[in-house]
Formats: sequence, C-alpha cells, structure tokens
Amino acid sequence: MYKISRHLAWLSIWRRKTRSVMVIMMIALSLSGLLGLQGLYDGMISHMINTTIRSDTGEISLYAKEYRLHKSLDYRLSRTVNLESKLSQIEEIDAYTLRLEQEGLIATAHKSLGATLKGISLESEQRFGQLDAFITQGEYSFGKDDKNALIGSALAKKFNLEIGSRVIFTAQDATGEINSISFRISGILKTGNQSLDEHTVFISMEKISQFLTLQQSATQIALRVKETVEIKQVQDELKKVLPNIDVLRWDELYPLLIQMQEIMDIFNLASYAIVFIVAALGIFGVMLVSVLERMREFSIMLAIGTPYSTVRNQIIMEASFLGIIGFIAGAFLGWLALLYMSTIGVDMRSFEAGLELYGYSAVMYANMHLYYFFQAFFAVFFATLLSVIWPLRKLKKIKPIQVIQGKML
Amino acid sequence: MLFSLAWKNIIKSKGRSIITLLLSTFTTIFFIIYVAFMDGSHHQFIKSSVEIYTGYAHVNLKGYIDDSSYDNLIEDAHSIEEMIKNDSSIKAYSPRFETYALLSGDEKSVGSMVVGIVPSREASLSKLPSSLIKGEYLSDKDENLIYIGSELAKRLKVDIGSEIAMVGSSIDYSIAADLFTVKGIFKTGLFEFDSQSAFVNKSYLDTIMLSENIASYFTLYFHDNDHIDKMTSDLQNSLPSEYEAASWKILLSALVQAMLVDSIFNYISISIFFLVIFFVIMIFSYVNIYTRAREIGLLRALGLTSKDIFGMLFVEILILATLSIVIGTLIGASIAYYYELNPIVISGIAETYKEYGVVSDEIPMHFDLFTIAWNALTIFMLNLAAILYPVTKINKLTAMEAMRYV
Repeated sequence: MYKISRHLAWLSIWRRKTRSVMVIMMIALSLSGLLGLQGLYDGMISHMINTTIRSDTGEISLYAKEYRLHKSLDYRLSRTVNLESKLSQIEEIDAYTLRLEQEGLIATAHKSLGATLKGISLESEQRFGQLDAFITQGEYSFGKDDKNALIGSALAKKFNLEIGSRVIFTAQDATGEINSISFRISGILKTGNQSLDEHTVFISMEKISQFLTLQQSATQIALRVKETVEIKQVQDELKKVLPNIDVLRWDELYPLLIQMQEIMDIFNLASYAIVFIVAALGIFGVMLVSVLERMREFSIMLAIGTPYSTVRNQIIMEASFLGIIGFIAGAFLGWLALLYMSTIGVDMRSFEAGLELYGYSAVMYANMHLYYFFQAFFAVFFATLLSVIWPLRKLKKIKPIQVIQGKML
Repeated sequence: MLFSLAWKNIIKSKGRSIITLLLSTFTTIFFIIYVAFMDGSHHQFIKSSVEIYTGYAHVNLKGYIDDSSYDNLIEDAHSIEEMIKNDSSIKAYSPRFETYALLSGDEKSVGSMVVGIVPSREASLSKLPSSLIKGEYLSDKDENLIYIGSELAKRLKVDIGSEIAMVGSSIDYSIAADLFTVKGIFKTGLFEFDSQSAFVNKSYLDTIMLSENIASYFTLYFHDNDHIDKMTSDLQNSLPSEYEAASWKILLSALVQAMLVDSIFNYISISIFFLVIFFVIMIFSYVNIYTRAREIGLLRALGLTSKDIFGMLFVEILILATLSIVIGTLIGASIAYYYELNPIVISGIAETYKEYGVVSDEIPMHFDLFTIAWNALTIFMLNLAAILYPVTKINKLTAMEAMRYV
C-alpha cells in the first residue's frame, strides 16, 4: 500500500513544479542560513573557551583558599614540589603548569600602566596549551639567563613596545617591600584572552621568585585533563587529596563563557522554532491548495474503495518529499557554508578592535557538528507534519459522492 | 477600476489575505521591536561609557589618543582653556591630568590610573560626584585626599580614612611619591573603571607631578551633543593645528565598532527570518494567482492588457502591504516608545555582565522615527518583491492558455 502512495505522492509533487520548487527553496535556503549561523556562533564561543583553557585555566585550576578574593601573595600555594608529586600520581591529568603572579605597575621611560607580572615555565606552558602558538612577534624565549619577558599584545600596543624595548615593573614583594625589576621584551603574545593581552607580562618562574623573594610558591596551578568526561571526576579526586586548596573547573572560574554558550543555544533554538513555524505556514499553503484542487481526484479514489489511510499516506508523503528534498539541499548548502567557514574562516579584520574588546578573534572559524544536521532534520520534520494536519482534516470531512457530483467545494 | 477589482479579490480570497496581512503585520512589529531593543542596548552601552567618565568630546594634542604618554601633553592649558571658554557651543569643560601610579594600602599594591580633576566642574561632565557610595566627594580646596573606585578599594583593602601611598613618575620622569587619605569611594558600575581609577584634586596633584598648567586633555560637554560630528569639526577649525577635537566616536572607537559588529550579526540572523517570510508570501500569492488563472485569462480575453493584470495584482499586494505596515508600525512604534520611557528590567544582568561594561539592569528600547521608517519600508518592499515572480509568470501565459489552465 505504501508503494502506491509513495508513487502517487512523488508524481503529484512534480505536477506543480514551480510550487514545489518554491517550497524546497524556502526550506533549503533558510536551513542553510540557520546551519551556517549556528556553526559560526558556536565556533566563536568555543574559540573563546578554548583560548581561555589553553592560556589560563586549563580544565581545572588550583588556588590557595581565599587567593581569588584577595589576590595577595599571603594566600599562595607553597611547597609546590609536594603538590606536583600528588598531581603526577593522577593518571587522567595530561599536563600541568605552575604560575606565580603579582599585580603592579609597568613603566617605560614615558609612561606607566597597571599590569600583572606572571612567572611561568616556557616548557610546561608549551606542553600545557601551546602558548608558543600565540606569539605574534619576536620569539618564545626568555633569552639568556632569563633576562627577557613576553608581553600581551594590547599592552605592548599601549606602550608602542617593540622587540628589544626595555620595561620596568614595580611591585610589592612577599615581605611588603616595593621593588623594581627591568627587562627587555623578547616576544609579543596575542591569546584572545583579554586579561592576558591587556594586562600581563610573562617572565620566568625563577626570575619572579627571586624578585618576590619567594621559593617553591605558586599562585595558580592549572591542569589539563585528558578526556572531557573525566573533568568532574578529577576535580572530585583532587578535592579529596587536597582538602585545603580551591579546586575549580574552568566553567566555575569563567561562568560567563558557559552562560554565553547557553544563551547561544537558546537563541539557536528560538531561531529554528520561529523560522520553521513560518516555513510550516508556507508548506501548509501549498499542501492545502494541492489537496483542495484534487478533491475530486481523492473522492474518486475513496469512492472506488481506496482506504482513507492510503490517501492520507499519499498526502503525508507529498509533504515529506518536499521536506526531505528541501532538507537535503539545505543540509548540503549549509555543509558547504560550514566547510568554508571552518577551514578558510570569516575574515573580520576590519572590525578587529571592536571584536577584541569582547575577546573574539578577528578571523572567525565555524564549528561543524553532526548534531546540527539532526536538529535541522527534526525542525523540517515537524514543520512538514504541522503543515498537513489541517488539509488532512479537511479531506476527512468530505463526502466523496457529493464532491464527484460537484455539489460540494 | 483596477482598484475595485483588486479590492474584491482581496475580500474573496480571505485565506491568502489574512495570512499575508498577519504575517506582514507581525514581521513589522517584530522587526521594529527587535531593532529598537538592539539599538537601545547599544545606546545604553555607549551612553554609560560616555557619560560616566569619558565625556562627549576631548580636546587633546594630536597623537595623544594613539600614544597617551607624557610626550603628548597639553603644555599650555590656560591658553586652550581661554579658547574653549569663548566657544559658545560648549556648555561645560574641564581639564584632566591622567597618569598611572602604584597605589599601596597597608598590605597590597595595585597599579592604577590616577587622575587630577577639578572636582567642582566634574558634576556637569561626568558621573563621578553622583557615583559616591561612601565618604565624601572631593572639593576644589582638597590637598592629599583621594577618591577611589569601589573595586579598587576592595583590592587595596582600604576604607574611608585609610592611607594610600602613591609611587609614580612626574612629567620630568623623576619619581613622584606622596601619601593620600581616602576621602570617598565611588561605584559607577563600570567594572574596569571602578577597579582601577582614583581621583585627586588637580591643583594638588600638579604640585607632585609638576604638571602646573599642563593637562592630558580637556573633556567637553556641548549644548547639542546629538550632532557631535558637526560640533567637533566646528571646534577643530578654531583650534591651533597641533590640537585636535575628538568626539566619543573616536575616543571609544573600539566600543563603537563592537556595537556595529553586533548589529551586523543581528541583521544577518534576522535576514534568514525575512527570507522565509518572503517565500511564504510569494507561495501564497503564487497559489492564489494560479487558482485565478482562468479568471485572469477571461479578463485578458475581454481586452485587459498584461500591464492591467500586473497593475491589478500589484494593487492587491499594495493594499495588503500598506494595511499591514501601517498597523504593524503603529503597534511596533508604540511598544518601542513605551519601553524607551519605561525600560525593560532584567534583574541581575548588570552583575552578570559587569566585566563587559553592563552598568544597569534596565534596557531601554531606542525609539527613532528614521529607524522605524526604514524597518517598515524593508517589510513593505519584501511584500512587493514577493509578488513579482508569480505575476510575471502568469503574464507569460496567453489569454487562451490561462483560460484553459487546470
């Protein structure tokens, strides 16, 4: 029975070609647009999350209790060797890195600004999040005897610093004394993470420990977890092993990022809903007319004994064919758009300053996930179903004989 | 004649008319509100940045905006002040001296912006005096008293009456150091600003920084801030060539650009919606016109030209579009107007997005007749464009073909 319905449905959608093509185009174009936007927005946010994890928090960060509140060296992680040995016992941890930071004032001969001095180890940062890949000028090195520093791009720009420029950093050491230290810039970093790009100067861990008169200390230990699913488990394990330390996931440290992702998801869902409710109206228009103008045809079918279900299936299938062809065309177009945007990217460099203000990168890359296409399929599917309900009800109510005689309609 | 034919057709094909009407009306309302809301939040963003501290325009030495170092200071502030004073378009103005210094409380030091201001004049230029939350605002006779942001106070762990040591460099690049007492704490809501700004009476700071008769810039408030481009270019003409008048559009160019990018993305998103609407109106018009193919054929046979048919069908959509645009615009505009006066309040939004410069929970819509006009016109054109293809297609048929059309 389905075979007949299917055959009839396929023939009837091509009887009125223009109409069918309009519906297919409507579905295909709106779908490809929605897919493209979803991928692009998703890509923008996951890029932000990714750079934050790589350049700052890792999947999990450890802080001394109260540190994040006071940002003071009084609340630091000490005897880091012990911590490190504990971390290396947990298998799920891929890499970790120690950082020691202090706020202060950075100055050149002409100007000064508030900034953060951060001590890092270049090798472990490279293993941790490929920090070297963020270098835009100069080299990823602190030079001979660790005398040089890396600096955030926005901060470098504010001072018009170049490779080899000298800067002076003034801050309070662990004993409360105010000290100054000077170094030459060997590299400029652009991570996309505002707090790093605008406020941070990186020097070696040894140098900063000396400058702050500290040993075996860190303000933050960031870790990378091998598998995303294990993050929570690793966090719980660490909390048990290190009860006196704050163990925080990246999404607890930057709740805004997760929130943006959630808002984006809601936005996507709403767009799909609105667009496909309207699209359903379009399919409905075509289906209704095509049912109405074939009332006689259907009446004859019913009169000669075709079960109502066959007729019903035929109509549902007509709509479904339109939907499916539209979906395939739209998914293909959307896939092309996403492929382009995820490999070549969308170049928005003419708006660079504005985008960077909110931490977006100027060349945006889209994400592409299989679930986008499933989501799109369901949207088309529901729109199609929705569109045939009313025409089918109309059909159900007819009295075939009267219609054939031309008494109704 | 065409009009009455068209009118009859509209009444006759109720389904199509109602759907086209409803769809266009709702789209118009939706579009107007969407844009009003978007523009409103952008205006709010920029306005808060402008009015809290930056000001509508600055007069500074050319090059200062790119390189705000001591090399680009206004060396003879008095002469510039004379010039500004005589400009009738300027309502209020004040010199500021901005520098960065290390501020230390008992336990902690933080690098912060320290600004010398003329306290009495800031009231009409910025929100500094009105953002006071604790203690007192500065006065023109104050000496070593400091007015600091709430977040900065937290970071330094200081309160009213606490002492803050400042180490910075004076304009001859020698070390400048002094001890201040906290007189007042302010909170503007701009998180970055509250966490790294401190203010001192300029006449006192000048003695430490050796910046007598020197200013980083003058901040201005015009009588007519809405036409800022004209105001600044007029002012520019009266200034000596080494000075420049920069409006907030230049001073906050990154922010202005960010808002522009946001608008672009919003328009792209909404254009998908328009695409579907366009197709739906087109489909309904097409179906409607083709069910009347025989009737149209008959009209042609009776002597109407294809131009007449085009005219008739066009008048139909014109009536429908006009009607829905008028209703939609009236509703949309009144909603936008209402919410401009009574902003939507999303409680907690300022706290959540404080790092992004969201200052208030209130988001007013922006009611602008020009914007509403082009919004409505867009939907109007969308309606007209949607009918072009169906009409052209039916006119390709000859009278006989049309009459026999099944």
